[in-house]
Amino acid sequence: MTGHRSWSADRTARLADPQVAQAAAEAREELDRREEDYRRTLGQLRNARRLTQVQLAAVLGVSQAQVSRVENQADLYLSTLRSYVQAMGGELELRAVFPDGQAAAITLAELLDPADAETSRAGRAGQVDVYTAFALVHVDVGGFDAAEERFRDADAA
Amino acid sequence: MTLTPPDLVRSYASPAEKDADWQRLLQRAEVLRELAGLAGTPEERWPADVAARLQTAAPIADEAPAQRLSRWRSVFASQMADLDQAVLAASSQGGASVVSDIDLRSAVYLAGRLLATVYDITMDQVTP
Repeated sequence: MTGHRSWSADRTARLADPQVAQAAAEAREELDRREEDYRRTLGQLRNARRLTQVQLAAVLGVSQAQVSRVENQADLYLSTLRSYVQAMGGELELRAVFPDGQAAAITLAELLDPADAETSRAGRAGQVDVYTAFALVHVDVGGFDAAEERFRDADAA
Repeated sequence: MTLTPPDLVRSYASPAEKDADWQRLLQRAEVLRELAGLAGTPEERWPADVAARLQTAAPIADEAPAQRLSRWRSVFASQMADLDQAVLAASSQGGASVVSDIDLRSAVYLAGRLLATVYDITMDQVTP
């Protein structure tokens, strides 16, 4: 039996249906719109604060080109975003919102502030017994060659 | 193949020698923490001496030093976290005196391997 159709043939057949094609086109437009919104957001935020990229760059101690890059970057480090927002005089807040309506604020301090993170880590480490902690180090020593090989493989790729 | 280098089982000849290795571990852990922190920072903000060392490390044709540093942090994240936790645990519970000789040598060795890898140097070139 040769009833199997390839994925691309199946996709072509589905898209031949005007209703499916219309839905796909609308979905694509929506994605494009969201991406465009995302790209505009930081720039609009800056404009609303009546700041130019050059002014913001001066506050951040970076070049105007870097500010432009941040505003157009598809993915950002939280630390970069926080610096950007703080340079405009604001504070970055992060919330996790779930479909069931539950929401929780995520504390950025420990994620981003080295001093806070240090204090927190030291507190946690104080509760870990030394023997267990160093046992993990031994495991790491044993597996280091393999990990390094992965790193070097990428170097050579 | 013996994965654990044989000299890790050697006892320290004196408390002073052990303490010197403990200090070396603290220094290496500090450098590793700094490097891990720099992995999320633009190269322009790296301290000059660190930037100079990282920029000469085995570049891939199209991989910038910052990308390489981020990749290094990702690949070795668990090793660095374990090392960090071990150092902090020992620091908060008495320092070198609560760590066995083989544990201390292993930690110094692991920290050295991590530094040798990120700087692309051999173990005997690692400082501190």
